[in-house]
Amino acid sequence: MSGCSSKSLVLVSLLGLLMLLLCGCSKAQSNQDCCLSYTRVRLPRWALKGYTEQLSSEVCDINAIIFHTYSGLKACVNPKEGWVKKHLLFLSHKLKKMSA
Amino acid sequence: MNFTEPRTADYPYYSDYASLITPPCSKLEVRNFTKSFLPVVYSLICVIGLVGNIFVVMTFALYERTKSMTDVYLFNMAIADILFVLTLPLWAVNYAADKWIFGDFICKITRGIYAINFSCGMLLLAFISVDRYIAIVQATKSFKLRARTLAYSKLICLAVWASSILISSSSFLYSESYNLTNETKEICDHRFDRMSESTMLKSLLLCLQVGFGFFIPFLFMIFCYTFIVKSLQQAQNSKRNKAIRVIILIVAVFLVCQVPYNIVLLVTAINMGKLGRSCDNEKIMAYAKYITEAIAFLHCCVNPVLYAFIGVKFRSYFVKIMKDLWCMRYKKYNKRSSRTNSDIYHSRQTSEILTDNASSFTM
Repeated sequence: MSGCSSKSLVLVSLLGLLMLLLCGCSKAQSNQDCCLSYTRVRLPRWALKGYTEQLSSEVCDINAIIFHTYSGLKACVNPKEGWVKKHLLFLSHKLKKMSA
Repeated sequence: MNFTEPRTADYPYYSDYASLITPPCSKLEVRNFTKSFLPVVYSLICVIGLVGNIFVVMTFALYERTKSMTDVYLFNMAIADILFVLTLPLWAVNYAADKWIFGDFICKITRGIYAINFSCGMLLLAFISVDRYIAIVQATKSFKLRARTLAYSKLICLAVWASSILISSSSFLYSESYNLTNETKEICDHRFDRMSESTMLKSLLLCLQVGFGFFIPFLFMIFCYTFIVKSLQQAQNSKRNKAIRVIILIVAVFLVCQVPYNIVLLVTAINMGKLGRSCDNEKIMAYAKYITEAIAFLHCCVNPVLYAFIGVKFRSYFVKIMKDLWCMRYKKYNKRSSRTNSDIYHSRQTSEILTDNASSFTM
């Protein structure tokens, strides 16, 4: 009799311990626009108006840079590629000049 | 005109780069859907869940005789469901306005309460099946065992709530109301450190949610209820068929409400962070998530019916309380007679409980 109750007590406390280590449920939103893959071609620098950043630490899953072109298009690009980094540098210089 | 000509030559693909670039996946149609569908569904669930669970809490609070462990769990589950359902109006407004307007603090609180009550409700479902298992399958030992656990009932419930709060602490920590980098509107969601392995963390959280929100209560229920049904089949009892039907109903409703949503969560966790998913599939997954989530939320409206109102004693006591409340308006001066009435009722209830101590108030 006492064996049974101690067994269930162990079970319950084990469950409790496991739960301690864990985190609760999330209510993630999935109605936001996200980049799912990257553009394969290189975009010309003069076509770019600005950029925004997509972070995997927020709603979307992957890291990406979104280039906005003068023609109103948005292009998802890989932030790790060299040409993207150069374009970003160029754009941030441009923005600095504009604000200065 | 002359000015752009040489540049086009430099970039031969310029003429059709619109077709070569990959734009972000636009979920405008999903947002239009969530704008109209979710506020309606959430409000309905909120109203129905609130009414049903308030009745349960009221009946248990006014019921003065000995309660079984299951009754105590049910009382706590109804409170958890009420708190959970009370966060839904905020989400309804969030989806209707397509942005979070309540600020950072309420975002943390809402998501925290949501997570606490979700895990608390699931834990209690598991504990209820264990208690019924002890009552029926271990019937010979159960009298002492149940009396002992009943003495610890407050402690057990405290432990359930404390562990739910601890489990949900990540929701408090990581929830934030913030501006998306490419939009001006605020949203209330998880946000991790820039440098951390967010994709891993996110899919881990999803897996834990499925594991603890679904698999653990499910395993407990399957284990306990199969043994209960087995031992009920051996017994010769007039109430046995009804009891078996109730158990099958409980498990079936749990599965119907929880399985679709948890499949969607698992698929999301598996696909998390993979490159090159198609936008159409992504939209379908978003629709599936919102619809199955609503079905899963419906579970807390059905709980009072499934666990409390199905019991004959609960129902009759509930009817009595309703009558008393109704009569109070007319019978204020006639207190004496109503008191004697309820005393007779109570002594009848007590003898009933003493004769079959294994069956709870609600089954």
